[in-house]
Amino acid sequence: MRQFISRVLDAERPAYLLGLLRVLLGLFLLIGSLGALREALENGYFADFFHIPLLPEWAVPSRNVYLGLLAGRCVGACLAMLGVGSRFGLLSAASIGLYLQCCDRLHYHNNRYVLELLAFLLAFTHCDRSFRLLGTNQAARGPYWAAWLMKVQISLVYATSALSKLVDADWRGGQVLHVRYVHVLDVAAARGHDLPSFVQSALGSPLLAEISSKSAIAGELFLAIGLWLPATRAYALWLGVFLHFGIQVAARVEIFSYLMGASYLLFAVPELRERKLEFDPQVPGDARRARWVARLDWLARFELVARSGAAWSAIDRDGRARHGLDAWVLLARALPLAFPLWLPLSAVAKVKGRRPAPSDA
Amino acid sequence: MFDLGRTARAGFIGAYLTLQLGLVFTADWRPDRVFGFRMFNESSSLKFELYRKVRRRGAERLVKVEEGAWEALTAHGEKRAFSWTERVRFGALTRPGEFVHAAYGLDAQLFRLQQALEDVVHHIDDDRETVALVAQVETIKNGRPGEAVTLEARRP
Repeated sequence: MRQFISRVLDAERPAYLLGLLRVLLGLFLLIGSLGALREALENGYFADFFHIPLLPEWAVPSRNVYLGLLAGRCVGACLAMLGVGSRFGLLSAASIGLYLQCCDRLHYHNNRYVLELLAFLLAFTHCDRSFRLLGTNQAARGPYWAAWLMKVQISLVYATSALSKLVDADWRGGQVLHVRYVHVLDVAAARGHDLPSFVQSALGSPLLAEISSKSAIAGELFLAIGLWLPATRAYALWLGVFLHFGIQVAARVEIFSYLMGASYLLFAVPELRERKLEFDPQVPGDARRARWVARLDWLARFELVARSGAAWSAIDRDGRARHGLDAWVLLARALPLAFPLWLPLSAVAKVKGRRPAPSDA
Repeated sequence: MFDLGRTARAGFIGAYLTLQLGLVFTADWRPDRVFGFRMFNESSSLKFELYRKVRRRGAERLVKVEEGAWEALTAHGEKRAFSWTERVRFGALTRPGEFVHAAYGLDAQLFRLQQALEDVVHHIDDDRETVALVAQVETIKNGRPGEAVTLEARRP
């Protein structure tokens, strides 16, 4: 236990990926702030109308102070994105956001709250050393305790969401999702869309709702735990990508899916270029492919090694070289844009690997 | 300011986790579950009809508020128009007489409706006739008919 506490409190790890997360959270904060500003200017100041403050009414800002705070939040978000005074920008933007959420619980949304919390915590990391628009980028290491706390926060979101559904008989039995699916059918019918009959019968089926409810609960529980374990992390990330893609398509959740997707950066190994991509620069196809890998390697997973006569191969952290389809599997696992293909490719590679080699005879 | 020492880090982590876990475990005590991460917790909806309670000949009577608007006598004896949406701009509560989705569950929406009634009734000083605002609510909880609920907010 003492060792674990020491590891959390004292660990120093590369902060490169935290810089990318800073830019993304800054962008989300800016989008949210501009939305709130637009709403205030178009529809009026929220406290001029019915609102439900968590704080005493006297602690709710006046109209001008409110607009000033929103403008300040925009500035903080921009600082975070640009990498200039970015930790101060993150902390101030997140603090203003948390304060304003306490001024009107009608505007409370879980995704907004999670964004404020993550931005607040990120300010306590060395996220300002990379992805800077102005100034030089440093390959700095920094304390990682706040990043650990952010990961705990992400797990807490998944675990709480899953457990609250698990203890609800309507949720785990499928009734909640069944109503939503039937609502989709009603909306489609009202808009004159003629859904194929198999889609209609599937969405109207209580069995599908029950299966998807149980799957969603299991998926969220798996994410809460699986993201932490090296053996299951990639599977959890893959599941998370598709879970949030589905949620984004099916429900209005503002920036929630993008936020959770960005937060997955925290679960990537922070050490950089621990894998290698070997290729022969004389082979035009290989050189071109290597250039594409370099362009898409946003998380700096690969060191490109150009060696005359080398076979195209991806070398994992354990030093094992992979060729052919196995190399593509490793690339798909490490390149964010290709990541959705990782599990299908991996399955194909496993099936091919099990097939007996053709006889020489 | 941002680079905390070892003791401060431990204190920060302890305080943060205590606060977050406290908010999560107490979320069910708050009707709208704020800070509780209860995502998509219900597929419920409700419809409310708005009434004014007015005193006529010594007795209180309910008068239906049609389309969220009514007229009442002011202290100067003049008729004035009042509107529910003068104060209430929160989407789902702006449409009496229509079933709307109850975001974060029925408890949350009933809580908001009660608060909205209280708010409006505190902002109709000119209305000398209305004693209270009443909402009669039909609920559907996860696709099944729920309880009929009556909410009331009396003038201070």
